[in-house]
Amino acid sequence: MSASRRSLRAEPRTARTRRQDWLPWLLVAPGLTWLVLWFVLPLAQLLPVSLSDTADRFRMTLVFSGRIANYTEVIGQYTPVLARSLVYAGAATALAVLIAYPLAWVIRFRGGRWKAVLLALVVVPFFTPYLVRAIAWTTLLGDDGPLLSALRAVGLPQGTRLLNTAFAVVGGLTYNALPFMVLPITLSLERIPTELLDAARDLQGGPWTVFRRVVLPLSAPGLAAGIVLSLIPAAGDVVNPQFLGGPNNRMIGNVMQSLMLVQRQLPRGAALALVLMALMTATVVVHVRRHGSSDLTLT
Amino acid sequence: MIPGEFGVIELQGVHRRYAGTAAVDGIDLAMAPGEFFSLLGPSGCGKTTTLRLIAGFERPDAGVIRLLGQDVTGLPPHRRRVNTVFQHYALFPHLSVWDNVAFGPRNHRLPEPEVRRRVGEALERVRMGELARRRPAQLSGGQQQRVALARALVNEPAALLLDEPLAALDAGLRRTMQQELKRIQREAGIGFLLVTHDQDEALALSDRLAVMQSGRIAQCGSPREVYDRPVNEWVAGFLGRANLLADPLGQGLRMLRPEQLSLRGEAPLATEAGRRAQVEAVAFQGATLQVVLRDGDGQELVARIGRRDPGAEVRVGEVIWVVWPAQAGHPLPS
Repeated sequence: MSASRRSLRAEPRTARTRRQDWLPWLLVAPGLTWLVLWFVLPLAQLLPVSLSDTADRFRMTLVFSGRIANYTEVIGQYTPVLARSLVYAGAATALAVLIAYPLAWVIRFRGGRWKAVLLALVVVPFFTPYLVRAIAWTTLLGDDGPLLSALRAVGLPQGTRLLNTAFAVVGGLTYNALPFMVLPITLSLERIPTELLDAARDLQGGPWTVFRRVVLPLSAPGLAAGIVLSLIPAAGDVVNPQFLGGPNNRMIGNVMQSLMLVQRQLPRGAALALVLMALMTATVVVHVRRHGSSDLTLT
Repeated sequence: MIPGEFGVIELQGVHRRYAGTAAVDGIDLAMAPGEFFSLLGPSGCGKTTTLRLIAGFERPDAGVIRLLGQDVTGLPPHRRRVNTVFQHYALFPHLSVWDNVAFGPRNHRLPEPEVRRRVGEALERVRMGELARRRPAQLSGGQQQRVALARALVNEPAALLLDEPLAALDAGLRRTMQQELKRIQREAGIGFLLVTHDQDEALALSDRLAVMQSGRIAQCGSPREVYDRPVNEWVAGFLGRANLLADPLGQGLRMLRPEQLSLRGEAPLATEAGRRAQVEAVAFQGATLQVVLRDGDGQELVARIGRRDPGAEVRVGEVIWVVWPAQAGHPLPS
């Protein structure tokens, strides 16, 4: 009796183990399919395209010829734009850190019962479409816009412009990066037990010491995530430089757009896209190696 | 403490309210140097708040807190010469054991050789020298507890504050760590202020203890005083089982601890008192037996007897004499 009951119980257990073997695969299947279809395959296609010749520019016929020159040409021609893109993206990310960290700190430690509302407020502007926000900024920063009018009233010299400057582009990029910076930093601050902060104060740590030696290192994973999430979209951005930067502040995204959609030079556009990807991957890897990984593994 | 003597920690009329309710409701307390002092009470009695007020994490609404005679009521935690061992240890997860312990000395801006000497000593004192390179996550609960102790002691505080430090450990480890706490306190020669809800722990470790109830100190004294001569029924019951019998000599109640009662077949002698009662339950507790009885008036009596004492063989349902010395027990206000 007891033996048969035991065997009855053992049966479903092995079946369950077998089910648990393929359950994870089932769960990742939709995501995996999506990524393969819309990311891996187009990316795989990008490589042969970047090594092709345009036989007939108007009919978009491509002939694979292993043309490495596509790379040397775009690197030679667009290095200044690439550098500018990285500088703008870097500046915007740095600004976003400076703005978002204190904000996240206040939400976490002073938010109290308003915490959820404050977090929602950070995200609310992003219910407006990306393009509309950029266009709204052109009005705000325009020569007769409210910001310049106000500044002129307090003595800013005539003829100072905001629109079509690096300042405007970096400002727009920073603005877009903010929620992607605030949210992960707030979450990582949220995970620091208040008892640790008490302990740091108890061990003769003044406010600055508590921040530098406890809060900052323990929020490093969130900071690292925020930096990656801000830097990558900013470096490839098209909308902000187009609407806020004018012809002198084009970023690499604008160049790619123009190469692929206007000039119909698909191979060179593809080559440039891969160069940017390689650059960004290298940047992120170095960044995570240096700041992220040791803290990421230990929280 | 002798009045006028210099106290390490002194509290005078300390009050702290949260949203209208008093967490700490007028506490006076004075801890002597080198004393092992416990705040004992049930959860919500205000003992942890009292500790946090002394550490500086909370400010009192009224009253004065002094450390080594100096008024520290308005000072932040980092300007107070006390250190805390937290309930969940609160070790910094991103720092090694060594760096955790060095945290305080480095904040004091001691020269690095001095930091190394002190940290090494503190880790030896809690027997954690071997594991200095580990991270807290790689340590057991007992080891984390030792590191937390070392991290507090290394700063040579005027007194150490311990917030339920052993609550998270299992029973066996708790007993070992109790002995360790006592040893470390003796060696370091500084005052320990222990917050606990465990009366056995408080009785075993303390030189003196304060029993807290609803934000007030109900009684303060040596473990023997408080256990043998509680001021009221509540304190009597919180420190252990208590038999409360009507006092035959006068008004009020007389408290007898279970170990003061004996069980036997013969009636009490002239120097004794006693009554007949029926055994309701016998609980084996290792070295002793706890016997629950009910007398003719329906009153419950609890006796704790040794395994070789008379009455150790009683069975449930048996009627037997419960006997105690006529002078035994402590009068309580009813």
